[in-house]
Amino acid sequence: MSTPRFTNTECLVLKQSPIGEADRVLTLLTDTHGKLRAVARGIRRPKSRMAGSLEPLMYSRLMLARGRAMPVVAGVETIRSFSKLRTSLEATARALICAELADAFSPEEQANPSVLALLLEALEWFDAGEGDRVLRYFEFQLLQRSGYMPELQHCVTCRTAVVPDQHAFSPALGGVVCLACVGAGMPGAPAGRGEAPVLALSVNGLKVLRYFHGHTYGEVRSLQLKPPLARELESLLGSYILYLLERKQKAPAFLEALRRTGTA
Amino acid sequence: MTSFPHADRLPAAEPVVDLIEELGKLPGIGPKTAQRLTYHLVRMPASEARALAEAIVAVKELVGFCSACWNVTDRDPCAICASPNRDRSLVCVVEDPLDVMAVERTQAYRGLYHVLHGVISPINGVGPDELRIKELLERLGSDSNSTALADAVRELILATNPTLEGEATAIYLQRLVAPLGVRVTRLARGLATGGELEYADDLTLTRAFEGRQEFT
Repeated sequence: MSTPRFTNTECLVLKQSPIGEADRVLTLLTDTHGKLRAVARGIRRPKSRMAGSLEPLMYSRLMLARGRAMPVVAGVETIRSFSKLRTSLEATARALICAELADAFSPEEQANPSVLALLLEALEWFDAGEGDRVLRYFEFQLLQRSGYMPELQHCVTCRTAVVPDQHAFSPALGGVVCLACVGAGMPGAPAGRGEAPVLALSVNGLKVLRYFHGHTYGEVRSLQLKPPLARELESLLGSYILYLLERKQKAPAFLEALRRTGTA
Repeated sequence: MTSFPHADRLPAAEPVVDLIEELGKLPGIGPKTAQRLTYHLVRMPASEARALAEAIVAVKELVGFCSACWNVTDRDPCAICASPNRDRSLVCVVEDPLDVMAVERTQAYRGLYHVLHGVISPINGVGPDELRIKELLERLGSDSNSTALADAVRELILATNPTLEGEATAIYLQRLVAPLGVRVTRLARGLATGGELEYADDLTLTRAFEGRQEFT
């Protein structure tokens, strides 16, 4: 079946990069076509009618025309601009972290509307003033919706139910490990992955991760995450994501810089 | 220069192939454009081709960055920073040397500049350390401490682009500079001349309303 000449889709602009004299290549997360790249011709010119609707983190309705190498944006209409988010440096930094993760976990042209819905929800919460807790919830939910849900009920090596306070977390094995298995050198682990480092996981950390699973952010936001617990979750989820993606994400460095310089 | 072991199988003379390859390395120049440019140069008078080659070499040998404003220049400080006719109480912060050219074309601004050479873009790994922000703070610090009142910077105009990254950079700079007692302003944003209201996006219209002024 031939590709239709025009396609309408709703999408979030994840990022953009300039090409040629006045064009941009956009990376879009769409509801119907997954992640795809499209060219927006002439949007770097001051009088471009499309430029404002194609900024990063804009949720827009696009008409895409079939192009030679990639689709061309033929028309656009803004659905949601998240204007308050853009006036906050921290909210922008967090939103871009989520956009980069969504980009990394979304294969090209494989529809996964739940990831787009998750990203839109995260941007709404950042627009409303919510902070790092949204980031952790987003990371967990993204892992779950991308097929990398960590095992939180049973030890990933011996499959016994986890005993409170007798567990660690293995990014390589994708879940909790009982301390008995850690002490025994992780018998039963797939070859090569048993030697990978395990991370400490507190009882409260495990409880929060379990709560993230199956609850909306509206329910999660009532959780009290004291700084040590927040740091533990950030480190654990970050390590798991790093293991899966095999590369460090770029966007978090700016949020860390803001915290370091005290401008956050 | 590329060496080809099988020169008899080349599609064109070796210098032509070399030039196409070199031109193709430039941004926005694909293989077809590189070929067109190369054959244009082949047909061009030798004197013009030599002038082009000399201009390219001169740019690399004679051009550097102004130690005050980081604009591209062939002398240090640059002509703008060295000029006694510029208003030294104003510093306009831009992303790129091309932005300096754009503002100078208007002839409406008579202050100084500071070129960041980029914009904060977390998703591309560009943070404050990759830009000339430290140099801007040093400049403001030294200028505001100057005993010559005429040399003190009184206003910092943030002229980064009205993009997500440009706005983030402007907010970041405002936070850093505000404690120094320097007035921080931002270029007006809103509708472009020649634009039409019905085609303006929500953000542009919102900013246009926020920035409205007395009409006399």
